[in-house]
Amino acid sequence: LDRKELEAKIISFFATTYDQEASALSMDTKIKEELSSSSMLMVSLVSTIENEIDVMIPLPDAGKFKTIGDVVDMVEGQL
Amino acid sequence: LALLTPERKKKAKTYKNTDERLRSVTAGLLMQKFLNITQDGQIIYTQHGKPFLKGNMNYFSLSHGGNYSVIAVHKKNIGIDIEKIGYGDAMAARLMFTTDEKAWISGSNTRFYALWTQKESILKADGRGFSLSPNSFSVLSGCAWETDTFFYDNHVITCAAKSPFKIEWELISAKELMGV
Repeated sequence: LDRKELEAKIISFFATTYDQEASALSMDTKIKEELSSSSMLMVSLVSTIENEIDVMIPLPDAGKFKTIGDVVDMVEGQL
Repeated sequence: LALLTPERKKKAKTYKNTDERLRSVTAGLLMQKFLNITQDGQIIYTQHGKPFLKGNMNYFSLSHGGNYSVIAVHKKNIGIDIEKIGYGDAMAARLMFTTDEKAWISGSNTRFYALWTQKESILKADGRGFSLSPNSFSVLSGCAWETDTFFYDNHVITCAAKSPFKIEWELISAKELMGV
């Protein structure tokens, strides 16, 4: 996966989990402020990432992500 | 917004999602009504973000979900969680529940959400939040925490504390909170 492909994949995960249009999401989208602060959705997203691209994100770290770009950065660092 | 403390007002304004903003405002109003919070310095936070009252013996916990915001106040350490009952999320269940908990849920959305609020209220009462791995303990056996759960208007609410207790609750409208 190159960076662009990874960004598209993570955005698709966010779109599905948070019930949003992928086209409305970007690397700068603020997760809590623009989408939801639901812990259930965040746990679901982390689980999806682990299941789909085999990258584990510790749940305490997941709560610290500000933007979708932060999630992509972390996943990219582990690929 | 004029009713809120400066920090809470600032936080509420960061939410572009209207529902999230309303919940943040409501949380601020609940703290005003039940904890007499009128200044930001009255609450201190641990490194994991658990709030405590400065110079007050009571403990409290906040949560919001679906159409409601809730606050729990107790003389002992407490955690609260509320969720609107929907479809149990299998992906979230993977990381949240133990094998015996998943078996107990057995496809029931009501059980899924009841168990979710039990676990999350414990994580909040414990104070470590998700730094305490949620599937490292089961609420069904050998759990060090007591919980009390009730249902209202398709939502489930659970409180957790170390010793047995019974929830006493009251419903307050947003208008009442604002003194309108």
